[in-house]
Amino acid sequence: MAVKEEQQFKELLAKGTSLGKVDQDLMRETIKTQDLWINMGPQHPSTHGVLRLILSLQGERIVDTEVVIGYLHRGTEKLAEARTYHQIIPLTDRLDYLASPNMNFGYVLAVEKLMGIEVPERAEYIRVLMAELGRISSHLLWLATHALDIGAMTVFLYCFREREMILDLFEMATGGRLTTTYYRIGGVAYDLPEGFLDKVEEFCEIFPSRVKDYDDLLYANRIWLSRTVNIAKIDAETAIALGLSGPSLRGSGVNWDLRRNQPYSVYDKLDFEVAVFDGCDVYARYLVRRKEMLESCKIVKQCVEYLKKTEGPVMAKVPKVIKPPAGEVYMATEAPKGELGYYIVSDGSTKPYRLKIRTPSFANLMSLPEMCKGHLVADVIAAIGSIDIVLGEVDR
Amino acid sequence: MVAKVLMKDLLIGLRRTFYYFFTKPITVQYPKEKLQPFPRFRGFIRLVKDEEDKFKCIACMQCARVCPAQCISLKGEGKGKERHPVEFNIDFSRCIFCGFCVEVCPVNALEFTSFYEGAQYDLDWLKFDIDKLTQDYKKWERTFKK
Amino acid sequence: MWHDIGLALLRIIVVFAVALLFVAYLTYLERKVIGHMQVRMGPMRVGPHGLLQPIADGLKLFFKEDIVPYESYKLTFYFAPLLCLVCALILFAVVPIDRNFMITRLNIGLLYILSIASVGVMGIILAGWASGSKYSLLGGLRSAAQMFSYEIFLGFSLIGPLMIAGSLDLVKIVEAQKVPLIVYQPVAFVIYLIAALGEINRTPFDLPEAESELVAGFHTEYSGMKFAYFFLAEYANLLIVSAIATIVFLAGWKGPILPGWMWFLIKMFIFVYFFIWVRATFPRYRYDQFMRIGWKIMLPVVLANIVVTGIVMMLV
Repeated sequence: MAVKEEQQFKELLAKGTSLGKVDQDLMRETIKTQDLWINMGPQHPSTHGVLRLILSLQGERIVDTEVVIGYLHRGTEKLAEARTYHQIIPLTDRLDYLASPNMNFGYVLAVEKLMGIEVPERAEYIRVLMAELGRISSHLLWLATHALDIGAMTVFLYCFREREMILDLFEMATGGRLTTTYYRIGGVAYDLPEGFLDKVEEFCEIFPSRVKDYDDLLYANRIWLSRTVNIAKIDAETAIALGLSGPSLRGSGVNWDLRRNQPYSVYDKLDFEVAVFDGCDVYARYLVRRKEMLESCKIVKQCVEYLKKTEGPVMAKVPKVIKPPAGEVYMATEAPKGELGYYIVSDGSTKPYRLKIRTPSFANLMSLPEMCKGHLVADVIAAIGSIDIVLGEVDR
Repeated sequence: MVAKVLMKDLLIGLRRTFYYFFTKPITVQYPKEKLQPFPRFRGFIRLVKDEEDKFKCIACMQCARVCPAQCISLKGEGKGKERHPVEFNIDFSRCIFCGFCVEVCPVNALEFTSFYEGAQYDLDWLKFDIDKLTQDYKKWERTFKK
Repeated sequence: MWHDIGLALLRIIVVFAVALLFVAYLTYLERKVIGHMQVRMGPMRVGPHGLLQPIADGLKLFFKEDIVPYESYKLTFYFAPLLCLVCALILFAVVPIDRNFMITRLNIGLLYILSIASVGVMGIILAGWASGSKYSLLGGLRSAAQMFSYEIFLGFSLIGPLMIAGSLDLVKIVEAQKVPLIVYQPVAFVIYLIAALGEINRTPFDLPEAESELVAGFHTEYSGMKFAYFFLAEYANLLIVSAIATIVFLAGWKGPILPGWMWFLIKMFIFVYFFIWVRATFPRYRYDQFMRIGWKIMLPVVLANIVVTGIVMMLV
């Protein structure tokens, strides 16, 4: 209460009580009830970066959530207008920095679609391999932080152990651990190094047993269940209306995966299952991502099998200066977090006229107020975790 | 029901952590021990000289043009085969280690080192000129002897 | 008379020095144990295998700037951590480490511990309220509800063993145990462990300080030595809770071959290890779920336990 109001209140109280009784109307006028506002973030241990939420609470129950974004705005889209088509690739790395191969993938596919480039099959398989490894690593980091938010801190380090293995693989093949910059328009930068495929195979052997480690700590754990089941529910209709995509959408029982529904690259030749669970809650989203990790592992195995058998170029014949014809293109891919779309408007010059990026985290984040309504503060943490946002992607 | 009363789900978790209590930690104690980066690792970039202690670089400016962060600036001198750089600056405080410059170089005059300990107190230290770019980067690596 | 006072002082100094050292090294133990459970090493830098880490931490906290928020209620803000620490430390006064080694022998020792422990909770509530921060306030409110109700279950879970032992005197409780009471009272033992976790706010019940929700709950605004007081109090409470479990359920210092105090410490550290182990494994309950477990499951069970104990005792 402000000092002035307090003073006023004291005066009124003195006046009221001096008359022998408290003046009810006067009291009601000065003592107002209002929701407790809590400012969560941008510096908060579990808002996954610099997300800021303004929560209105009644007790610990959420009345309203306001999402404030923009603390990590780097102007990627505007920057892209001043870069050549090749120079944009490192920029896309930094959108979702937890799965940079997937971010590259969407962009190069968009440019290739605009220019009509045929990419050699071996390059496509390498791309898919890297993208699926990126998906696993992204999901691992998601599970790590999500579990940590809910209090299970050991899962965090087990997940990071496996993520480290994937980052080592990235380092071996591409030279970068986080920002791989491996994809090029028309293929990939260079062929896989010797011994890489064996290492990937080794990882695929180990990984399912490691998933069992996480399962032991979470899957049937009653505390985990009571924190996630029936929390932050969002039904299929609302989810579609809010533009949710990716695992968050599949957790609501919508069978929609761009890898299968609009197959790009060589996904139509690969055999994998789309993980769909219809719990609509945090636990269902956990199950979806858990299964996706295992499915990605399967895809990786198939890619390794193909790549071991074949040899060939990894780069198509592409002019040195990329100059797509004037026109526009939209290419959507299934990034770990959901539908990642690149919309490029070209005016025929070496730089795009406009690059619009439809990032999954941004659209998914907008469902947060809907999810949190009526839940407790602790559930907000679970909800943020379950939609798996990366602020680099939200703010771009 | 019996499993629930006996807290089987919780005991499974306890068993898992207890098991790992007796396994070997995976920690690498940096800086006492360091991992050797893979050969393709994109660390700091250096300028290569050939056997006669001449720069391989022909100052064609392609690296400066391709750099997305615009952190390379150079000046060349001479014509034809004699052309060589007199000034070559890479600002590693801006560099994003994408590797485009190394990839684009027609004479392989730039190469990656495995040096990555670029956290410095002095910003100017990261602005490499032509002398610094040809030095042996090994000497800057941090060592911690006990 | 002077002889007695001198002896008493000596005992106090020994017990508190050892207790504080234990508390300091408990942080080290916790970090090491959790570290190894998480396939990492824990502190390794300060001293061999990080053995001097607690001392380094203490020195750092001691010399740290003491920040007092502008919006806080100053007197309470200073007073709360002290209350917490003092209440935690004076509990050691009645703990019998051996048959003859304790600061004082109270014939209502257990009652003393239960009552002083509940005063300690006031420190946390006051801290949450005095900080003038919403996160701290929520933490304080949570702890108010949580700790008061869990005190009840903690007390009730000890009633069964007390009926068998027939005394509140901690020494007599131990002496009454020919066989450790855990054999007769397994249900009370489990309930005691759960309630103890709630009482000392540790995972999975660390709601007042839930770091990922309330940042740090009641001690969000505390820094420096005041924060250290809370920290010490928390670990002192952990020791006390383990000590009571040892005394009441595992027959205290009794055991073959080894001297009594050693048995006591071994048994106590089994409990300490268990609490750390639990922290490394489980997620955190939500506040309302936690209260529901307490009132809807634990209270009926523990009351039934008392009734059954009473009936069996009447029949035997």
